[in-house]
Amino acid sequence: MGTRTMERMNIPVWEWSETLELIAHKYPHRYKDFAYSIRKNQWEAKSWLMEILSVVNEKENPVIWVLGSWYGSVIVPLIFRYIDNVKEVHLFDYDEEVFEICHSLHKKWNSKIVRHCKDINFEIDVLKSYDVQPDIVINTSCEHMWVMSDLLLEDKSILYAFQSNNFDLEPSHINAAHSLEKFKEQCGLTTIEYEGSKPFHDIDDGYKRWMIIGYA
Amino acid sequence: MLNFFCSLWGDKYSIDYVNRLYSMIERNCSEPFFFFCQTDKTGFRKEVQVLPFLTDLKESTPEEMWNTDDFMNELPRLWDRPKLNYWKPNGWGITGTKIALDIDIVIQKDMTPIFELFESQDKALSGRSWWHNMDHEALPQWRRRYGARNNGGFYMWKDDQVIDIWNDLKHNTKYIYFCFHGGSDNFITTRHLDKFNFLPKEMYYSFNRGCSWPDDVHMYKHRPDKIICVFNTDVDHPHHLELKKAAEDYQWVKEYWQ
Repeated sequence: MGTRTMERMNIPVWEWSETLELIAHKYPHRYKDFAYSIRKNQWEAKSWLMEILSVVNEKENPVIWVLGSWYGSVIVPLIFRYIDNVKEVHLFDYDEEVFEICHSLHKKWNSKIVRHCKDINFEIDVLKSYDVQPDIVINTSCEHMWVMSDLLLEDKSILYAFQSNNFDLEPSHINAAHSLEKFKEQCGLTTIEYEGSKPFHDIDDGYKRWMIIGYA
Repeated sequence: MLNFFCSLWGDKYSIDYVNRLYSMIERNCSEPFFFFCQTDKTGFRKEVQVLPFLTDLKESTPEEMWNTDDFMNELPRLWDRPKLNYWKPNGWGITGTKIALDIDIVIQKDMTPIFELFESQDKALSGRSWWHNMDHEALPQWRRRYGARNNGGFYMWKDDQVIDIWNDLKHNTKYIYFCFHGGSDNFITTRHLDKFNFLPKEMYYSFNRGCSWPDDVHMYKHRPDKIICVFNTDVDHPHHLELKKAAEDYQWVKEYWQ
């Protein structure tokens, strides 16, 4: 580690330099998409989730699944920052290109990261028979997916942390939840440890992000 | 023997579109062929063989589709579900080489080069939206929105080339309807594009969008060297002309569309 200032930073953003070069040279069409992944509202959403999850979680050495992980720009560093002794993080996304970027971005943790190039919408039934089952399932993009209640796994001790929103103007939001109650229905959790909402955008324009953490 | 398919439901298009499509094929197809229309309407010319809407896929008939409560953007999710029936192997008991066409197209000249292209390679053929901005297609958002790259105005196949499409539809019906709210082209692009080669831009263009991005995207322009012209419209582009209106306004469209 370098200086005391660097030691105090939760996220080693200087490690992103190499990845930004990779994006500039090999994936220039993705620079804007990557920039969106580290916007202020992304930091708020992911850090909100991890701050609460780290309090609720009681599992040691957990295996964590992240569904719809995108680049994992924010969530991956926060997982390793907030959860002690993470055993493995499994990232699921259907976009092949994000994984090369992700591999570069999270070099520090690559030995603990397993990447699955899968569209969750067509893996709902298959996930139940995956070899490595999770202790924690995180999905911060439920609005892009089929209802999570159909995905809940047999082991009732698995902790789920789900986020969605009511921003239905974006065409890729095929399952926007128009209220927190509606989102709770979509998730099907029986024991809710936390539920809440925050403005979806940097300014409060009426669109909300929902979060539920709990057990099936 | 070639088997041409089309579908007609709802009130947007009349039976004239089907009858005229038959006429255009008759003028431009030198192979023997049958012509089928999946519809619940009557009154077609005698050469049109009417097929019922298949019911293998749940909520796939027009009536069932419109009675569903799962709408997005004021349309049922995957709003052209009846067209998915084309992919059923031996559907309606029909075998052999199959061609599915949208009813709002014009066929401008002899289709033989298309048939020769099909026989010269191993895959099914699909129309391609060559007029799309390809920079936009490359963006992550395009994939995230399950955006289409092919154009379903034209498909040509033999059943054994596309059997996985039907298996996928049978196995994943509810997920497919849910995800591909934009239509069947989005489904084909995202899940099964590997089974198709594209009809080249030398044969296929769009009245409203042009032929080839970025150099030839002029709308309403006649390109007499092409074989098929599609009239796909977009609600976000009110200046797009539907085929009937285009035939009223443009003599060359009127001459083909009869």
